[in-house]
Amino acid sequence: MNITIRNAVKRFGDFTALHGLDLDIASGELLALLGPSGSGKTTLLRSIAGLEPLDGGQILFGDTDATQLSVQERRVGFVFQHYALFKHMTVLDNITFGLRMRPRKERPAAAEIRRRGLELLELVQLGGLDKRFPNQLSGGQRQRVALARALAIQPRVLLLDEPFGALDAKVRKDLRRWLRQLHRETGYTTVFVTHDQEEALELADRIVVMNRGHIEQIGSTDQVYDAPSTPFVFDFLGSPNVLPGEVREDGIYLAGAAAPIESPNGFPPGPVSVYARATDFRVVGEDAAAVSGRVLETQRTGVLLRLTVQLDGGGPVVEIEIPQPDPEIKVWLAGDVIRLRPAHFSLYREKPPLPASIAVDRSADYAAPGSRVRGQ
Amino acid sequence: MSALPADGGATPPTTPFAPLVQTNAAIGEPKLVRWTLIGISLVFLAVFLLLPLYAVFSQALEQGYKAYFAALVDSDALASIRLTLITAAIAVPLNTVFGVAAAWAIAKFQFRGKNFLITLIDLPFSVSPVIAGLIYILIFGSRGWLGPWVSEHGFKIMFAAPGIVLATVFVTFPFVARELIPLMQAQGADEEYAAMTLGARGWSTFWHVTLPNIRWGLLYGILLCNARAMGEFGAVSVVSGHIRGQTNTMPLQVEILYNDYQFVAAFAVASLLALLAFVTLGLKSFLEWRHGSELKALKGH
Repeated sequence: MNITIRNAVKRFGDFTALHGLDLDIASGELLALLGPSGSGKTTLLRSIAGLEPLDGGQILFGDTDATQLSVQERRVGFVFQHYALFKHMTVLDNITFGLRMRPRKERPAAAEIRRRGLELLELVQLGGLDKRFPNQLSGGQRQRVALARALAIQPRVLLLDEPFGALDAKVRKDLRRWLRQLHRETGYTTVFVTHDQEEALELADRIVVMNRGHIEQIGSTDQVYDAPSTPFVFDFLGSPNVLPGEVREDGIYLAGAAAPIESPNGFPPGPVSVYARATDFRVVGEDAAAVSGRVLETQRTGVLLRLTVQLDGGGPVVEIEIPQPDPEIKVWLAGDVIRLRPAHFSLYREKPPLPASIAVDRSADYAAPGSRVRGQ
Repeated sequence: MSALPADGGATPPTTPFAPLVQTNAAIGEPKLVRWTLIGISLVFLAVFLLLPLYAVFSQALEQGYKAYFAALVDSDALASIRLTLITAAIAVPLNTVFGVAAAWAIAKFQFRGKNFLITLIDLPFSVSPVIAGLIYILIFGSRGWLGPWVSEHGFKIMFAAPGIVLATVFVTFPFVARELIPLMQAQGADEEYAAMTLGARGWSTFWHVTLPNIRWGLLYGILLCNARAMGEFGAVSVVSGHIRGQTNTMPLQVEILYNDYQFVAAFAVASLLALLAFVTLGLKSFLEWRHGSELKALKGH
């Protein structure tokens, strides 16, 4: 079931949680809503389920206007962060709850309900635990029961609110892989909320990055990671180093460099901020486009060597990570002078603030190149 | 207190075994203080709780079992027992329904004036029961606001069973709500939301999800409500009119008999109320022991 969200507005008193969002969710895709707390991602999810009525806008399930439907009529599978299993019911009764609550005419026979419940229990790999109570299960098992319970009603869409937030790191990793596989097998349109960029990148087909009730960027995991459309997205998907730079007629210059690192790619001249991740820097020899700095600190983290570098001429302190070089060839120590050049980077330029308006596309606040610039 | 060894505490402690009773010297008290405190508590308990209880039963049984049971099957005593049971049978279900509804509204919804509602629910706790009774006299008494209209239509509220029920309902209405509000607030609404997304309507959600979650807390509240409904004296005394065999509840009957110097009869009825207290206490302890974890949210009572 494809879902269309048009101009969704939600307010809580004076606080506006959703500033008129537009979003198209394709049938069968696995979509992540990624953002910090307070970004409106959970509100959006609950609005799709009907648990938070919208103050404006529309949500369509296929061609049906879901805003006219009650929570019960929407038939969405919702999985809560803290499972929300019915404590007093067995695992099987939890899973079959949705079927048992159907009006008498549409309700399958008791034996059929039981058969479907056991089948779902097998699907979530908990066969044989049907008579247990939720408090006799581990966190990961509970979450899988919650998922089976949501799947039992054959939902139009599966919504997961921070599904792995309450689990420890190891279980979380296993469940992610398992959920990805389950999605491939069942093909349900799935939307999940997370504040964990790694989780979003690992699990989703597409990521919606949200910030303060706006959508910052919608794109595939590659697009969002490689070509963040705003500094916020760049920042949220990994801590960036920000270097001052300037676009001139003949290319993009880092502050203090004698040669451009890249041609302007149509970027209008003027000062810019160059965003680059720690792993995007290369240590170079004599390169006129590079900037020099002094190593403040080195730290070995497994295969990577992390350097903290103070750039010359009062430049910023940058953190870079380079593959640990052969120790016989080169080891950098605090105090060494090195020259750095970002191999991949993004350019952003803050535009003068736009007049206040509710439904602005935030990416328009920044003049960014269409795609991430790649150096040699 | 022993001084630290000269080498700065490097020698191991000399005690070969851990003491049987672990006492923490930092917060412990000398033996004398401990036993004095325990002694004071025990004496207090004996004088103010056990002695009166003993007095009730010894007085009731002073002239033997026959006199005791004769006092209980006296027609006025039976009437008072019946009235007390009827009053509780009306007041407790009413307050159960009200309490569940109020707790549901307060715990699961956000609305204006919520704190005011909570304060209102607590009102009967903060108002003297006598005033609670007087309120009804002011409303339904012969010179009250509604009194003339009520008697014109042939109803009798004051100095009759309806007045007693009203006063009892007023005095006991916080009990169930007060037990359930913290419990339901602690549980949150996620399970209800989950039930709704699975297609359950309001009533099914309440019946299959909410009620099983609050059942022990609810039972606990009903128990306390019932104990108070049967034992209420002040408010009921004001609206009752003390008509023998008609408008006396058990506590009022005890007072009347006592004032008539019928000590055996008075204490016989009183012993029933004391037994009720025992049963309530026993059930309450059982609930706490058996379902303590589910009642944790009730801490503070």
